[in-house]
Amino acid sequence: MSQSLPCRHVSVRKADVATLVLVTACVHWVWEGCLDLTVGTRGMLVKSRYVQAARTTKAARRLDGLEALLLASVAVREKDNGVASIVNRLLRKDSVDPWGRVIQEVQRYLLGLGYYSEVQRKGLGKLLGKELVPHCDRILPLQGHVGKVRDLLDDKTFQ
Amino acid sequence: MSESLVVPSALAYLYADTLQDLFCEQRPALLESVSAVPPRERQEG
Repeated sequence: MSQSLPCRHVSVRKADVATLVLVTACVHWVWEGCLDLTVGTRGMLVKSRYVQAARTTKAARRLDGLEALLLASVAVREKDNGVASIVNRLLRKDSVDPWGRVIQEVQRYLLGLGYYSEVQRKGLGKLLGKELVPHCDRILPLQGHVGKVRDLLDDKTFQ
Repeated sequence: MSESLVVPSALAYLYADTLQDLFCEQRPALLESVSAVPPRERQEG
């Protein structure tokens, strides 16, 4: 399933968008100094890698969006903070469409900031609920900030 | 990051197509951990 990105007529696989968003939120907290991530391996014969997160003592500055949800999903007990477990708590295990939920959370956050509007659909479309309409005049100028996200993801402090 | 009015994860959503290549190469372990989570989606392929 693909996800259409607003204002630019581009589609990306939904799972790829959601994982990119989650990875960015994680790395952002590392960059802010509020999370430490370490890579470990488990398994005797077939080894698999996992990433463990640990909350640092640094007070987190107030952020909304997926960053806030991710940090709120970090458990008090350190051993419960494999990144997969944190994301699982964020998504809730019973989510039918977990990647869709990640994207909805981001859209809801952008709606709150006025980058989208909610518009009532007409006719049978009403059954689908309100439609989110992006404000391209506000969204497109944000492209100027994407380089900073690229730098964040390109930071080789944590691989 | 603080200059932008939106959090980086939201920028990553809006411009996912321009960042995809980078994160696939740079963060393999983290990517594995995150993408291993939702089993139903994985079954769909």
